[in-house]
Amino acid sequence: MDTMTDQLRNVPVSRRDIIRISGGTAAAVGLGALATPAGASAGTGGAAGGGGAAGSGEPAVADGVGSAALSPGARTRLRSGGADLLIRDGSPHWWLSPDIWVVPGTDPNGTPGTPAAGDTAYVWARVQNTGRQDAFGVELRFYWGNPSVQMFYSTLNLIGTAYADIPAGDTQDVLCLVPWHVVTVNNGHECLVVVASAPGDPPLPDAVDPVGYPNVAQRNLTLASAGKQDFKLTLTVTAPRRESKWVRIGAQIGGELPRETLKTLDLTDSKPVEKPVVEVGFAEKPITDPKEGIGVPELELEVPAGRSVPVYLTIRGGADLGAGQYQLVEVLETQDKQTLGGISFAVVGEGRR
Amino acid sequence: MTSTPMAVQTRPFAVEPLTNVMLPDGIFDNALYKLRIACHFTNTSTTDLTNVTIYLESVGDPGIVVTGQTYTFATIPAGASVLVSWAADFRHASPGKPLVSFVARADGYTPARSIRQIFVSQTRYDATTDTYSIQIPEGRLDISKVTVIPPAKGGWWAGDKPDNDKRKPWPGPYVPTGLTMVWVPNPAYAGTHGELPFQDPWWKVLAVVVLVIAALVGIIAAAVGGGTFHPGIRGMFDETDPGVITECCTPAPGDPVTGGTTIAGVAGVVASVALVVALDDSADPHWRGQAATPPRPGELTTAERVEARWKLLEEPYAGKPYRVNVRWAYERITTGDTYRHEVEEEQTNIHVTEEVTVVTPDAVGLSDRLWARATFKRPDSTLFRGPDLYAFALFRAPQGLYFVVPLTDDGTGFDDHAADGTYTAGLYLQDVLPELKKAGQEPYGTWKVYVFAQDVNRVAPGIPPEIAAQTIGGFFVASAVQLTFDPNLPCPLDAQASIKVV
Repeated sequence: MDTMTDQLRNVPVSRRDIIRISGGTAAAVGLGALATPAGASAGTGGAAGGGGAAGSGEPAVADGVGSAALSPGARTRLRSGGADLLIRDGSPHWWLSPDIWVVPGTDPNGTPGTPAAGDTAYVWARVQNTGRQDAFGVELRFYWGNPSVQMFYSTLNLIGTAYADIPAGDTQDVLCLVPWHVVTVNNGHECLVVVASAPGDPPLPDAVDPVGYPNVAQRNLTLASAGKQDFKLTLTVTAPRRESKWVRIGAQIGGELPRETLKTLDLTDSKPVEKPVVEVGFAEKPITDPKEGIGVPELELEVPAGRSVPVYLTIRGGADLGAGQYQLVEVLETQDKQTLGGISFAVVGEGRR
Repeated sequence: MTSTPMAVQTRPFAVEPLTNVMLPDGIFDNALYKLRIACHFTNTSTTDLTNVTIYLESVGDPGIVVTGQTYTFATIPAGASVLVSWAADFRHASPGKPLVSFVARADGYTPARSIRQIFVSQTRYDATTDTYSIQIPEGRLDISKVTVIPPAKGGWWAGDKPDNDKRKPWPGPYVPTGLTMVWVPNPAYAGTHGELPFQDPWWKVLAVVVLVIAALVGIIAAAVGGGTFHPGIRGMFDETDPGVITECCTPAPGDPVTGGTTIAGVAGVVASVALVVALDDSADPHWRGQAATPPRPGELTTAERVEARWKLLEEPYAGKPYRVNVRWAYERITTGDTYRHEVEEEQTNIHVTEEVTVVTPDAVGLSDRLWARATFKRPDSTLFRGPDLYAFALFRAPQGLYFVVPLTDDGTGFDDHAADGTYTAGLYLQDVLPELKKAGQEPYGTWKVYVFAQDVNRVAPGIPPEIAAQTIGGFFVASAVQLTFDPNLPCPLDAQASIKVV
């Protein structure tokens, strides 16, 4: 993480501090803002949030009573504010976070993989504390969303929450024990977002912004089984509530996923195929007859403010992909050459999934 | 580095925070909104662990909202089990067996995660049919025609009866003497035996959950009013067993919330579990009735009714082997027939202690600490140790203010040695002076010590249900408050020890 220095206090100031101080608009805040008293309070606020039963070093008392249910040797810690929490973004795109993974089935300690529609699954996240203070009572919120490119919290579904303590410089795997019941809509291909927060963190904007917020990560990565039949998926393109947008939806074929990301798909030893063996097309209306083609390689469309429009994705080919091979397909949403979001597919041979 | 050798080895249990009592068999119920998720966390290694932090990571039901909190221990001795608990709101909890995960970390080790199930039920009351229903995944138990021994006329107060008589007495305790239980399995089943509730406890445990909740709701309502339990739950019973009354303690003047609710809660639980005693721990009437009435092939059991009436041959003293004469009739309703089985027998409370010993200092100074060491001996002369018990003490100040203090056998805090069978409670007088001052009371004089202990269901996960069901937790094996049917006896709230503060 890039760091700067608050010259008045001579302490490192992280990008996250700037976001926190600015209330969430990192790009608009200059260093001058750090010299204000408000800057000095960065990272110390919100200590009481969510920790109503905590006491400063004394045994906990819930709602003023009930202190007996606790060993007298125990001391409690307040939720700590001001931690630098990081859930790593993916490579080459942020939506390929290796720090979010899914365990299909009823055993949360099982092998990571890709759940099928109708499955129960558990979602994990790996959180780092890159700051100098231990972080206690970090809250993690786990969301799923329909396949889409740019994502918005207002369209996501909360799976559940979890808590973690992460000493400074340490990393903690966090399990959300609320089972994720993978819906049959979209045939189980869903997107995941995880937010780690400590008291004093700024509120998040509606648009999911993992790049601007290190404590936010996104996993828009799914396995696509290729073969004789086309792989089809309906993507959702959403505009902000008060702003329409013109965007292009296109695809890049080829590339490689990091080994640790492959591990979360249970594809640890799979090799990428660089030469395109699949075709990717988009359409504004469903294509029901394969003879009608797969749509266009790039689609330009306008989405009215606050609305979502469907885009019909088809991936054709890939039958020649051997066992232990995959082809990476990345669907990108761009606006004025700026990438707003995306979703990636590890296309594997028929039956691999 | 290896994982921290700490684990939650048994099912976490429910503690009602206002009264401090554990719910029967540790079962959570969403009729009580605020409950604490309590568990014993055990150092499974042979070495002491230092700088241990423990937190609850996640709960598998989004309807259960936990207040995040981290506990720290400077040292947890080898083999010690520390008691930790988290406040949670169960208002929107679903009946089921959600998972709960806990994380422990000690110096020199990586974090270790323990995942355990808890049992959650949903109790409601239907005024039109005067029926309580408790819902769980395996079915629904309807409870009606509850007969009880009512409390003595005029009730009882947590403190002296006020002169102006404007305050209402505590409700209960009601000692049950009979009830009708109708089990509606989900789904209807073929064969002799159906699924056990939560695939663990007997059906009668659900019934006692209902009775205890009814008792606690009345106490909570009297103490703090509504808003912390489901408004559809009643805290009293209409049908009574005439001719006998229950005398309960009239505690000395004291804080009505801290001490009074605890004593009332204990009394409510002690009274309610007479039902469990009457209906046998080794196999309850549903199981025995099922065994005695195998249905014909092809039939599905759609409902089972148990009508039970019993007579207490002795007063239901907690921790004592009091006897109950019981008669019950089981009826199995299937898609093809109805089968009956009747039993009359005598049962004895098996949740007993041979001896409870409480040791305290004779006198302490204001700069010292009050402490009490308690041992609880089973009939076979073995001691309850460490996580066998959920125990606490009430320290009553000379002018009546109560302090609830945990009694633990974990080798931390006031306790010298882990799992040696000696449970210790301690209280620094300097820490309580502000509370005493606030209440206008003095620390000098004679403090009384009251000791309470409930046994914990320590059946390990994976035990076959019909075996696991034979172990039931949440019984008071030691209680300073006792129930009597003789109003001429002295107040049955007995302090086990006293300490003079000079």
